[in-house]
Amino acid sequence: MNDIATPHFARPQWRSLLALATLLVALPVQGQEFRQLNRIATPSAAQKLPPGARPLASPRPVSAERIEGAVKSIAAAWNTQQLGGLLADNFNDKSRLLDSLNAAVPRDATLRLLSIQAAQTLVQYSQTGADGVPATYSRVSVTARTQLEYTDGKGAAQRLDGTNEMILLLREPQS
Amino acid sequence: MNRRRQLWLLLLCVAASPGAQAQEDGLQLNISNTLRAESYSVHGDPTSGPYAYPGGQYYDELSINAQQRFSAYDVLRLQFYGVANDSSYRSKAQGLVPERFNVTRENGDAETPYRLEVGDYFSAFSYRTLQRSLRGAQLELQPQQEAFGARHSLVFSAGINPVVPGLAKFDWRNARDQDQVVGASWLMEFGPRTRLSANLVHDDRRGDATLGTLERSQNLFGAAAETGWDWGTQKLKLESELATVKGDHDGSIGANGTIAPGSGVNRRGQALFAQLSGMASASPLDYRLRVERYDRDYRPAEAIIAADHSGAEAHLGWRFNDGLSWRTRFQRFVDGLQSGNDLRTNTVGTTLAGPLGAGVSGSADLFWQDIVKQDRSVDRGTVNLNTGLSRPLTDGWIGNLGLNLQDLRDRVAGAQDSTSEQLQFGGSHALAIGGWTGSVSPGIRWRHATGDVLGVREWAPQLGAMLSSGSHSLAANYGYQRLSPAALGTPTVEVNALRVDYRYSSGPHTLGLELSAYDRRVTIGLYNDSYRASAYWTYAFERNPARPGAKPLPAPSQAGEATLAPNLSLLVELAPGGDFDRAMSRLAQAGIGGASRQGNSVIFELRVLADLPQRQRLVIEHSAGSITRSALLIDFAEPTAPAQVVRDYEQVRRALLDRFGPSSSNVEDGQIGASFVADLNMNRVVRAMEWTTAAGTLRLGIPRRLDGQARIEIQHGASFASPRDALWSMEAVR
Repeated sequence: MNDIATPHFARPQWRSLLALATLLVALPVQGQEFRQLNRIATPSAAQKLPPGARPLASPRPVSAERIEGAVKSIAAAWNTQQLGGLLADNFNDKSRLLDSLNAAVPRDATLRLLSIQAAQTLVQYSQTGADGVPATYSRVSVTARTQLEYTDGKGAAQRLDGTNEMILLLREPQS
Repeated sequence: MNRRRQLWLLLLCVAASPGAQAQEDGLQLNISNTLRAESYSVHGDPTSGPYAYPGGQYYDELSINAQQRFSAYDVLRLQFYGVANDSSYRSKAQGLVPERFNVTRENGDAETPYRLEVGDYFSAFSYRTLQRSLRGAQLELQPQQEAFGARHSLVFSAGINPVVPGLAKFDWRNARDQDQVVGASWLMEFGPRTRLSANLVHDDRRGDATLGTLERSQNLFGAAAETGWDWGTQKLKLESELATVKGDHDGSIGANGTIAPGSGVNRRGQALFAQLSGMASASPLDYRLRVERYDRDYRPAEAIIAADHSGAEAHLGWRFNDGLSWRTRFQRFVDGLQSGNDLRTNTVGTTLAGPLGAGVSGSADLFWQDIVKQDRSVDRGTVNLNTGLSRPLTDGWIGNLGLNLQDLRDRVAGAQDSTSEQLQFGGSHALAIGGWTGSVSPGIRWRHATGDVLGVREWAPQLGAMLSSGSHSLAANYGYQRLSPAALGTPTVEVNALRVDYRYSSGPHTLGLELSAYDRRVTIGLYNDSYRASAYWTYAFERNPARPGAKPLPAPSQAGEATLAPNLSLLVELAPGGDFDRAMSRLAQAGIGGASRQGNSVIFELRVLADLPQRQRLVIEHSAGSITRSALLIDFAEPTAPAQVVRDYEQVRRALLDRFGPSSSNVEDGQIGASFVADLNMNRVVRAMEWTTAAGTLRLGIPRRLDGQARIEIQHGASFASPRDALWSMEAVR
């Protein structure tokens, strides 16, 4: 991990730093440092979900359009101040990643979404949020193919291709 | 049939065995198919553009989700995602590619409730032990009886890492067993605030000369704990984890910066993590202290932490009454901890976010960072300010401003300092052209950076627009970028990029067309002209008998049959297409009068929702003797107070759900936050809920308005444009 802490992009390793930064964006967004007891609903005990959450009577598949929109939001926010708002509060090394992006990545670097390869819903539940509005929460694993693009110090175009797995927590309102 | 296939079939049979008769009509099925055809054209220097693969690119992807419920506590789920691929952009794998497959059986009726997953699953023990997607099987047992005063969960996981270097990720055809993972996790939950967990993971990877990987075998044990308690007014939580790994890894970097041969063979490493977080119950203060240390040889193959690293962090937060939040952080990281040439990073940062007064909202982050390598080959300090602000302006414009300043002092002999200043500003304004409505967003970015090879001047204007009409939507964006490097002899770069996306939706069908043009010119004569045309068709099929469907609202009563009353039924009675004069007469008979007129709208100051103290207005829009739309307009008590906006909207939404039952559709994008009005006017917040009526559609939402104001509207109209086309307000009524 030396590269992450040597964010000087005049040096040869800065390209690998950019690739690493892309990878870190893709690391899982998890709510806890270690797993919780996701209780199976039984006749004598309700399913245990996050506080205030309820199981869904029937699953609601997350549409491809919704997933693509979420990944595009992440790609658009990458290398901007908006990225912090999209990462979970306990995203591993969140502030370190954001500081590294700020300090090390060329300002004109952008992340292009090339394709969504596959998506899988991991957990789904209903929960009333802090705003009092009930919603369906879906934790979705997505494989996304992205391309980092920027112009280097010599005026040459650079593009770095990468395939990343992202874990997204998507919130959809209930009818 | 080899043993591995036999095992797969056995697991699938267990997961899919009914064990009970399926509930009649209990099958829920969702299928989505997208066919996409693309054409890429690249001229000039092929490496200077965004597209690496010219020519035709085609694929068809299929997603299947199914659920069969055998009882209230016994369910079988299936997920499949695959593609018929002839596109180098879609995936490195060509042909028929099964990408994800999962069968899950969750049975709470069993004597020992269990959850069995077969196929692709996400295995998460902890950040420091196992946290990744695997392909294989995972079984979780949850005994119903408590033991030692705790509820228990046992997880057994066995699978392969589906990511094979050099091949497409998640391609079942390329599934190789050279990287195998077996793990077990025992979790004890002592009430809502205390948990203990013990985790074991074994990882085996065969060496592969073509991939350049060595044989690797690891055994890992970790123990984690979390407990929470109240200390006076403080609500505290302590989390910790200790772990040790013994075995091989891919080698560690030494003081010379290279991986020493044999440095990853038969090693032992430890991990330590602890975090104390808390918040005051009587004040808006929260805080977090975190320490972690991972040895050079603590390199678990399936975890996500960085090895040879230590960190110490302190975070402090304060939330003000008006929604403004302030956070400060102190961080010290050491990388290459046991390399003999460590690298230390110290950071102090502070962030202010939320409403900043005078209608301005946004955030500002300032941090100082000092990075020093032990041998002083790296020695520098950075100050970084990053600010993003937005504010409603006059005439419906929303303005935004971004400022980024960076000052880097490089203390290594011979190295140059560098600075960077970037300023960007833009705006957004509603747009209506014929039957199309949307917004236009111009902006410009200016940047000046100094430094040896970093010096550059850049300016980049751009113009974006979004329009929609009914089922049609159109988005376009044009951007220009000019980069003038400061270094002598370095050429100037100019880029023009245009993108136009069109989309049409009708029932289960969605058709789309995306066009892109890219032109890059470099003053030394190099250029790249690239074009992309992409057309797609998505068909979505749903069979969902278990889901209670929304029923159309009853038709309005025959004229004169029902007495009108000031409640939500008014909007159903005042249906589009109804006789306007008759409606006015019925309102008068009900004692509802005192109307004012604006254009072809009649407006009554009328409290329809009795529990809501805000100003409410009933509006009837008419044309040629018929009602075209009726509406209830509800002002927000405090449009700048997000919590109040949410409460107001939720109160109205609840009243409609209570009165009319489940809605037929609901769109809710974006959070209502401190910059609610600005977000609404930039289409970042969308709220629209609909009920089908005999005469059309009843819609509740917060529409965007050309004058930039925000209010709740409930409208009854024959039809509406897409809910995401936010400009559906009764604009004539201000």
